[in-house]
Amino acid sequence: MTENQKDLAALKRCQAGDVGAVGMLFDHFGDRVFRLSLNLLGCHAEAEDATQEIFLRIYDKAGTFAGRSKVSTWVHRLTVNFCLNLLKARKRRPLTLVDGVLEQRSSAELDASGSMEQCETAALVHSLLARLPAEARTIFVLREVDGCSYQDIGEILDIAPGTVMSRLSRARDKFRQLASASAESLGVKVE
Amino acid sequence: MKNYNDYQNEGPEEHVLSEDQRDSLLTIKAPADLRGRIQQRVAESRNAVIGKRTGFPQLAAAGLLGFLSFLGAQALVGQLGGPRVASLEANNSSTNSSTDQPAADASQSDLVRDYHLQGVALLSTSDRYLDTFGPVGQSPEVVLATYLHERGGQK
Repeated sequence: MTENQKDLAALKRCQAGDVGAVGMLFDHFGDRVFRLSLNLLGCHAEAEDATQEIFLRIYDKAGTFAGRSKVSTWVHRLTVNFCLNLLKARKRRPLTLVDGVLEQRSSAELDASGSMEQCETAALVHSLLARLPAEARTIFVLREVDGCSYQDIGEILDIAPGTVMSRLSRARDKFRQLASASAESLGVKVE
Repeated sequence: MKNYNDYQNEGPEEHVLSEDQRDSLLTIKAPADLRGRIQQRVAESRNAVIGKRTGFPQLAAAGLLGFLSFLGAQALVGQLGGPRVASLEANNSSTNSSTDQPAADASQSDLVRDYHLQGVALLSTSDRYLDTFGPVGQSPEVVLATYLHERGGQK
């Protein structure tokens, strides 16, 4: 059984009212949904809240999944739409405080996720992402961090692959500019 | 402006983030207790939905049965005629006599009007129906007798 078939089975169980199936989907997508939410929202607490809401929606909308795409693409789409709507509603960009991001990562997470150095690097990248417009940040994170294909990004954002490429190119240019401008103060290595 | 083919012909994709930077973001994991919190919220949400689904039909069924009982009681009053109703009334009221037909007619008319009002009121809340007449599904005759008994007791 493929991963997608397992996800489909879990969605069907959700549709039938099986609360335990949400746990199975969380085991598969929880980290990805949380990470994408954090990268888009820039705030640990908001990312936690968003992840909860997104999994509630996954449970509620399990019956509406048409099966035209992979379950992972559908989950990404729900996540992106939720976070972008949240950003629009709040009319603001994510937090830009590097120290704030660092403080919000607990010691348990540090143990699980690696060294303090990695956390500092992540915080620096977050500080640059925070200065990208929401649309550019979304497409940049989906490709550069999550490694989604152009086709998957197109399905997630409901745009053509060519549009994905052009927007990604602009997002990368913008990120490079920001990184160059902040290179000395933030110490970000731009390749 | 570049088109799809232009991007395709650019050669290998040039990533902006270094491996270290990408890895640092990929190490981010969801808090350990988040899974349990989500399952708890989903369970609460599901229970709330079930409550809504079952609450309304119960209320509607109770209201409908109350209304049907009211219609049945009205039909019973019409079928049995004045004497039985008058007799029931006489049992509950010392002021009426079985020979006082005009008074019985007036009482029957009051009874129907009062019972109508009572029936309409019943539709607004199933709890009151249950409190007043007991379990849903009693025959109209029992409902009417209960009503008359209570009406007599109130006088």
